[in-house]
Amino acid sequence: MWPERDPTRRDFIATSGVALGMSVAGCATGDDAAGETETPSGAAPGGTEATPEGTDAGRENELPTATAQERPLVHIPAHQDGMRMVGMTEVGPYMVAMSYTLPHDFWVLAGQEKSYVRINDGQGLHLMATVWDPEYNQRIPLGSPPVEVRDAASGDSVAEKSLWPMLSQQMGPHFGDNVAFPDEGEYTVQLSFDPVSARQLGEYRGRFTDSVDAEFDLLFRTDITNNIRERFVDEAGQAGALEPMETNMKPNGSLPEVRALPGDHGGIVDGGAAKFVVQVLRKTPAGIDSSGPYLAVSARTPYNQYPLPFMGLRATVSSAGEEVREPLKAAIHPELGYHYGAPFPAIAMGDEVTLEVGAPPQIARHRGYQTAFLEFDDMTLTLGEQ
Amino acid sequence: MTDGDRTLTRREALRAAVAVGGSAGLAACLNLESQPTETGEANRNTDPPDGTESAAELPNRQHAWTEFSRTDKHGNPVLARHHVLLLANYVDDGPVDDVDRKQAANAFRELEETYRWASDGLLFTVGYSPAYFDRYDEPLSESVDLPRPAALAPFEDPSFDTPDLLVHLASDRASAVLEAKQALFGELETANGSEVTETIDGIVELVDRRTGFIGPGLPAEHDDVNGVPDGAVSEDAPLFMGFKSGFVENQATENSVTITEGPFAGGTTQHLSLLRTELDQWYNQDSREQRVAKMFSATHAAEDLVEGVGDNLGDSSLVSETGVGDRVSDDAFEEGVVGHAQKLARARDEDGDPRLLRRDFATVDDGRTGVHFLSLQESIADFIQTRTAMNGTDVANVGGVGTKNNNGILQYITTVRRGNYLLPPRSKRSFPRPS
Repeated sequence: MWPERDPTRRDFIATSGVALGMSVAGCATGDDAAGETETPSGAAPGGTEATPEGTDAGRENELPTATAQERPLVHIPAHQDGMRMVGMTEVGPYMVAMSYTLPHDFWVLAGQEKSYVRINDGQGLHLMATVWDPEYNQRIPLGSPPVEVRDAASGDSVAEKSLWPMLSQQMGPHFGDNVAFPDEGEYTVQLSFDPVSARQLGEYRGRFTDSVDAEFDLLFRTDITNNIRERFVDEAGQAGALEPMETNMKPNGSLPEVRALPGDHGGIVDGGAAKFVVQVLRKTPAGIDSSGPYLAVSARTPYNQYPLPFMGLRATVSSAGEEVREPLKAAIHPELGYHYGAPFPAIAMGDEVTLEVGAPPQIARHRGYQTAFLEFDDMTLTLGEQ
Repeated sequence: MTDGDRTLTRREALRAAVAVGGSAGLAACLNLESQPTETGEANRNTDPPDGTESAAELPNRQHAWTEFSRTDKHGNPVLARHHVLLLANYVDDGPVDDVDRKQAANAFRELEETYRWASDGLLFTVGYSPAYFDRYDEPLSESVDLPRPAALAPFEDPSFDTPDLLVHLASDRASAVLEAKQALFGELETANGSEVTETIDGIVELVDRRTGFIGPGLPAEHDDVNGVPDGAVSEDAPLFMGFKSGFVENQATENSVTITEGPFAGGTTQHLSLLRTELDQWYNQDSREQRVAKMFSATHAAEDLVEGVGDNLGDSSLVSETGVGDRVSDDAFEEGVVGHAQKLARARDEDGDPRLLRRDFATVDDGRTGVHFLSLQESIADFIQTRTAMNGTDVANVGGVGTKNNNGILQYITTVRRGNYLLPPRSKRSFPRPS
C-alpha cells in the first residue's frame, strides 16, 4: 500500500494554474493494469483500444479481489488517481472546467453492447470537461463536445474528436477521453458545446440553445503527470462508491437531495442498482405546453446521487381504473436538475406508477459503474405511500 | 516513387500523384500506369481509349455516368476511383460574354474528344453556383431550386464555397484526372496523344483544387495520415469508415434526380460538402457491433446482417427490407442507438425512392481524412430533407440518443464546407444564362 501523499507546493507551481491534488476513480497502474500492458501492434501511443468484454483481454481487467459475479453492481474500484485542473471559464450560460488525469480505461455503450476501452502504452492524458450552470449549480450531463488539441507553437492538430459523456465515481458526470500527446510542451485545447437537446424547463427555458466554444492552455509535462497522486483502495470490490471529489468546481455533480426537490414526494424505487426518485409537481414547469401536474423522475446512482442520462424511461400511471402510459423525456430544471418527466393531467397521490426502462443509460462508464445500470425490471410504487 | 524513406505501393503512389497534381504528379502517374501490374489495376498499361468525335453520341445529361461506368457483381454502379474537384471563378464581373462562352464550350468539348466518355476514360461535370448567377440581371429560372449554401444542423458551422463554377473530373486512371485538368487550363501541349488547342485559360481563375478516391484498398493504403489508427481500415474498405455505400437500392436514379422542366431540363443540382472524419474512437473504442449499429441499425448489429465491409448486402443496405426506417424513434428509446442508414431511410420521395444520387469519395487533402460528399438531386431541397433526416434532431432527446451520442455517425464527422451548384444539361454546360 502506498502512503497517500498530499499535493506538494511544487505541484501547484508546476501546473501554473489551479492545481488540486484530488482523486479520481480508477487508474492504469498496479494490479488491474496487469492485463492492459500488452499494447496491440499499431495502437496509438497513449491512446486507447476497444476490447470486447468477455475475451481474455477483457477478463484480465477484472479486479483480483472479487469475480464480476460476486461483485456488487456498484462497487469501489481498486484505486484512484489525482486530477489536475487546467482551467475554468464561463462561456455563455455555462461554467466549463477542464482537467486531466492519467489515461483511464472505461466502457462505451451502444444499446446493451459494451465496448471496453483499454489504455495503451505511451504518454497521454485522460482529458475531462465538466460543465454546469453557475446560477443554480446544476451539472449539464448531456452532449458529445468536440475537442481539438493543438500544439501551441506550431498550431498542428494533435487530436480532434468528440468527448464521450461519461460517469465516474469521483468526477460524476463529465465529458472525457484519452488523448495521446506526442511531446512535452504547451498545447491549446478548444472545446465546443452544442445546444442542449434535453427539454429546458422553468428558469432554464431557452437558456442552453446556442453553440459556445471554450479554450484552455494545457502544459503537458511528464514530471507533472508522474506526480498525479494515486492510492490503492482497501475496500476495492465492495459495495459503495468513492466520494465525489472536493474541488473548486461547484457543484460536485450530485443531484439535489430528495428533500430539496420541488413538488410532492411520491417515493423511491430501486432498479438496476439505480435509485428512481418520483416527484409530482402540481403544475408542469414552463417549457412544456401543459398546465396540469408533472411527473418527474430523478434517476440517480446510489451513494453519490449522480444523474443517469441517456436512458429510455416510460411511466404508466393508474388512477381510478384509468391507465396512461407515456415516455418520460429527459429535461433539465433549476431545482430538479437533470431528470425525466412528462405531464400527466390526472395524476394524484395514491396513484400507482410503474416505471419501465428501455435503453439503459447510454453514458460511458468508468470503473465501479461498468456493471451497474444495465438491466432493469419494471418498478412499481404507489405515490406517497413510502 | 517514395515518400520520405518509405517506398509507396503502386496504388498509394497513384493516389499521392493525384493529390500532388501538376506536371510532377502527372509524370509520376503516367510512368506508374505504363508499368505492368500484378493486381491488374484496370489494364492501365494500355493506352487510354480515344475520345468521342461526335458530340451527338453523348447524352445531354452531364450526370449520365452510370451506363459509362463499371458495375459490381450485385449490379451496383461503381464510381470511378480517382477524383479532382476544381473550384474556379470567371475572371470578369458582370455577364459572361459570348466569346468566352464559346471558348469554354470548345474546351469542354475538346476534353470529350480527347478521352472516352467512360470511367476508364474521363467523366466530368461542370456546375455553377448561385454566386455565378448573381452576375446576371434576370434571376435564375424558377424551375431550378438552387439556394445559397447554409448550415444544415444546429451543431454545424461550415464555411461556404462560392466559386462561380465547379468542375468534377473522375476516372479510374489517376493520370486522366491530372492530365485533363492541365489540358483544360492550357498547361499541356498534348493530352492522351491529342494536341490541346482549346482551353479555359485566361477566362477562369482556379481558387481551389481538391482530390479524392474511392474503391477497395484505396483508404487502407492512405491510413498513414493523422488520426487513422494504423491497420484499422479494412483492406476491402472503399471508404475510410470501413463500409460500402452507394447500394443501387438506396440511391436515387439519374432519371429521378434530373430536372424535368424549364430551361435546365436535363440538368440536376449538385451539393458538395467536405466532411472531416475522426476515426480514432470509431476503430479503437467502438466495437464492431457498435459500428454496425451506428452505421446501419441496431437490427443489423443484432442479426449480424453485415459481413466485413458489407459486400454480402448485395444491392441494398436492407434498411427498407428490415423496416428499420420506421423504427427510428422506437430504437432510440428501446435500443439506445439509431443507425445512419436507418435515419436516411426516412428521406424518401413520394414514390418511396431515395432523393440523392451519392457520388462521394474519400480524401486525405490537408493530411486529414474526410469525405468530399458530392451528391446529385433534382432540387437542393431534396438534399436538405435528406440531411435533416440524417441529423436525427427528432430523436436527439429520445431514450439513449443525444445530439450526437449514439445518433448514427454524427459523433465522428464534422461538416467543414458546403456549396450548391446547378449542373446544366450538356448543351448549356458553358456559362449558362439564368433562364
